[in-house]
Amino acid sequence: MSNLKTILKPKDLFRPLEYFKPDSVEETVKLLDKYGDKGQIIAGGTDLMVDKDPKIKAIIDITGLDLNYIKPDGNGVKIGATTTFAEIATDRSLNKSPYNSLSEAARAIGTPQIRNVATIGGNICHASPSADSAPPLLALDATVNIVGPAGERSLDIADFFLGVGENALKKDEMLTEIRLPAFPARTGSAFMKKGRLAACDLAIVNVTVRLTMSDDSICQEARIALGAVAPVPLRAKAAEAMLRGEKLQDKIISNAATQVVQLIKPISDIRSSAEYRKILSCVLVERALKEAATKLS
Amino acid sequence: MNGKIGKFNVISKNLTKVEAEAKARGELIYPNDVALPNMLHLKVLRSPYAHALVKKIDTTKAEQLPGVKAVFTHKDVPKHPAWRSYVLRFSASTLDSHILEKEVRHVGDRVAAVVATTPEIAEEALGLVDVKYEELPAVLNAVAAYKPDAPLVHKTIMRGDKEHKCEKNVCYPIFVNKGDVEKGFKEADIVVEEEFKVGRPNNIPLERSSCVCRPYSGGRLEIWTQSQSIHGVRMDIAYSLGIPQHKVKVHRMFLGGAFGAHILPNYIEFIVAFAAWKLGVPVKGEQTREEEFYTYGRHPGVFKLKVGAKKDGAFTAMDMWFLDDTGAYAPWGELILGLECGWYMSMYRCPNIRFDGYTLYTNTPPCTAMRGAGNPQQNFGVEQMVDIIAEKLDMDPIELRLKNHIRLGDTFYGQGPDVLCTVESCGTEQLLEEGSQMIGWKNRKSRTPYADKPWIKRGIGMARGFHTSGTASSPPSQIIVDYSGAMVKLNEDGTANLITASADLGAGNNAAQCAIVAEEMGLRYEDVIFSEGDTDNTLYDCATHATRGSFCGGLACRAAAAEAKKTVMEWAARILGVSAGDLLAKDGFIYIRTSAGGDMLGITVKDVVSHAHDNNWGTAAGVASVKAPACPPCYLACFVELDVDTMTGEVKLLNAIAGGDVGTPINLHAVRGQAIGGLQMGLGYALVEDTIIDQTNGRVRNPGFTDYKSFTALDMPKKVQTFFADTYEPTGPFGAKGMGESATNPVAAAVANAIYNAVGIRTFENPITPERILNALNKAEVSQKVYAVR
Repeated sequence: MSNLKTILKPKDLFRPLEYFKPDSVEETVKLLDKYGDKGQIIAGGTDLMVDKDPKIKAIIDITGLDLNYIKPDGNGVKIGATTTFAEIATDRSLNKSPYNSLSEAARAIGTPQIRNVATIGGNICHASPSADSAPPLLALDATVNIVGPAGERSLDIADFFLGVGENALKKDEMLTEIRLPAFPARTGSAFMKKGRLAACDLAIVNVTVRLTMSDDSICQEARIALGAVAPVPLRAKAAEAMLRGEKLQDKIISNAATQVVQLIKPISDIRSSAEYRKILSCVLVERALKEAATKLS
Repeated sequence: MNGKIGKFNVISKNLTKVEAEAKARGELIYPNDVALPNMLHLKVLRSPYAHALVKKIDTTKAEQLPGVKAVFTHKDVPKHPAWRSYVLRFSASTLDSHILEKEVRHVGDRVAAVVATTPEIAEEALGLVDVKYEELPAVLNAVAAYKPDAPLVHKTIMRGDKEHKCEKNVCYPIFVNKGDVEKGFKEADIVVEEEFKVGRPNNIPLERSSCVCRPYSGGRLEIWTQSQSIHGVRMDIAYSLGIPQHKVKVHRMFLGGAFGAHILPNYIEFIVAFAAWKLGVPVKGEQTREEEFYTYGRHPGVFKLKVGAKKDGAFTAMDMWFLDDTGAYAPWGELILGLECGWYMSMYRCPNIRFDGYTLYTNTPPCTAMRGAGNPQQNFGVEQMVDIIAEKLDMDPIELRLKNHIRLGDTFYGQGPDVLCTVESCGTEQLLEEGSQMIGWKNRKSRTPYADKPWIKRGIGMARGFHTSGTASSPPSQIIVDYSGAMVKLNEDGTANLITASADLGAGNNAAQCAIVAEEMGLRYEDVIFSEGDTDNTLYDCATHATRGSFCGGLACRAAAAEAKKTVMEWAARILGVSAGDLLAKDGFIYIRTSAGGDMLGITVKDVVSHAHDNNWGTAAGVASVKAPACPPCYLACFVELDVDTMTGEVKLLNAIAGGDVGTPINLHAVRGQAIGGLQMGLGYALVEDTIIDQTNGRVRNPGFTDYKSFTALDMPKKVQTFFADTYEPTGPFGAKGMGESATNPVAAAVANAIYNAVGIRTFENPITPERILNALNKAEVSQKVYAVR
């Protein structure tokens, strides 16, 4: 996927010949249908211009579609697909519990320059297993709004990631919006990411937990989501189940974190060994759960 | 040791670099900004194999692509090998490459060059060159290369005019034996032996390599490129093309960083110059960042170190065995190995020292000097060894260093065993004393700083080191060329121009040189204008490397300034009717020393020059070509405080202190900047930077910043302090020595020693990654936790 092998493959050059900037989602969908595999949406371009896939012949710029918004209402928050991470990082409603894990994830992405142009839609459509916005969206039960020639459809975020670099969009569909539901009062979340550097790095492991507690401190609902430890970002459902109905003492949290390791399939790559990812997953989940639980007590 | 601390008018202040505003405004012209009429663009076809023969190469399809003007291969280039190492005498130089190769020796090696009307067309044509490779067996690390039955990267190479056979892939060995180490080990009360492995960071200068060459009448070639030595580039390219040296003109330009990557011309300059020369039109070749990772990097290596010491701490014997990996080509020959030897011999007093080292060829991208040139490598081992011995002897590691360190009056090897001088200034004691106070050395037991996070352990560590200031030896070197030249002229308005080839990589040595000229002449700093020249109108300056810009370059600039000043003062004396000996200049004013003891304003420099102009007395100017009398060591002590997360292996830096001995600092801004920049690079070497070579196919797995990581501002310790010793180097301009490389050399060992203080483990290898720390800690605890449930 990356262009880092160009000196070894001089034939595989990135040479798109057409550029479009449609005025409407309908026009965009028509272009996607027309160009199929050879057409590619661009918003911030921070993945596209690194990967430089040689099969792309038409660039479809969606920054003119007014999909850059954050709209909180009684039912949660709606985020437009081309909203940048800089905006998500600083938005007031997204910095409030429990949405704070998403804004924390936004702040952990790349550098300020990248956050100024990179979009949440691009991040999840690129479907990297280590996408930093994915674990918060999973933990916050997000749904995505998809538009195609047949109309609109809604999808659970968990069903959006199909494989490494593979999302559930059909060739002629585009992502327009991400919706976060509303949560009961005693709900909190925490995000953690470990890379090789404190900034400007992909995650070796990233984690988000979300807890909803009852008034007498019993865990009513739990989400544990992880990235970079499987072909897709995922929820550790069996570990979540260990928390439901419990008071979140250290031992309970610790056991759930340990259980997470059974539920992931990390690989060894240039950033980390699989073994280290297992260790980090256990440690980060435990720390994130403690952080979220402490905030809610 | 305190020397004379003078009171200066210009130097030893916070000076703005002469090129700072132009850089900030984006006005500076770099090689890649040069655009000429009819200029063509060049791209290099590179080998996908670590070792192969180019059996057949068909360029027809590529040549037929509209816009392509030429495709060159090994068949077209000169048959004699290229010369890249002007820093050495030709007779001592290693010549082991041609401009384009028939036998390719690393992934990324140069197979062909396409020249076209646009870079895009040239890039496309690369894919149309048809090459049939015969793959050959390859060796991908020094240990594999050094085996008796290992396939050879080079069978024979040239050493000047002579052929040299390479056995076991050894380019050249270095063996130095002082005293009798076996006897020394017998006399020791303790003997410690360890093996170390050092990794391969990349210089990663901000600016990527680029070269423009314009041929013009008289068979001349005009070149713009990144270079730490324009005269060196001229010499090497002229020789390699087989044309007279004076036909080549190289422009001096500011560099966007180098850290050693451009001391010697890399291949792009030769290829571009060759193409332009053959085609008779201007050619530009630019490298991508990926290509940069295949062009240079610090020599990795494996070494064993054995040290014997008496109960009282005196070292009785030191024995080092070193395998230094130079990659597929060795333009420096065995020089880096020689440096590793010289630095190691200059660390501590010891009557019996042995060094047995080998420069190994491997089928990996060529390595080069990188900030420290062998010093970071040996220091990583020696400074950890000192801490290990101190612990065994139950001695304070600083006390052990103070007992044995090479100091005033001792011999210092400035560039391998052949370049030496006597130490005449040494700030080590002051640096260790003050630095240890600042870091809280007395309380450095391993601590658990957070009660609610008992897995975090805090430690403090330190290391000392140095670098040379230049490569000029007191008894003359037999192999290294080191001298600098400068010209100073007065303008008719009383300002002065400094004209020198001395390259500025970003350290600010040109600013320092202007300050030295101003100080010498009694002008204001802003009245000395730095003038860029080229090889036609500057004197030979060997290079800005080996931390010699301020010291060696500064000596030449001061000498030229002194000559120009002499004329100005003679004129002033004539005008004022006094003796020149009674005059002194400051800030552009010339004062007459009165017998009463005061200074009376006589005349301005501006008026002197103006008067001289009107009366046809001429231009006041000075020319100097200077070989420095010595290579004085500039010392550095580094103290680091850090936390280790024993569950994740992560290291978090809290506090770093760099104490430098630079003699008289010329520009306070610049020495502080060097200290912090060198710290950042040393921390990277310690913790995260490494070029990862795939051991199955020789490819660089991380030829870009996605996976080649270097510390960001957020990774640096929150608290960084710098301070400087009160020393004065008698051989230096106004007492100055260098700074650039000493700033990096001991940092990695300081980090390793701090980690040991925190958690009691060493990895004996860098970078010290979290995984390596966890492995060393043998985190059975967490692993059990991970698998024990159920």
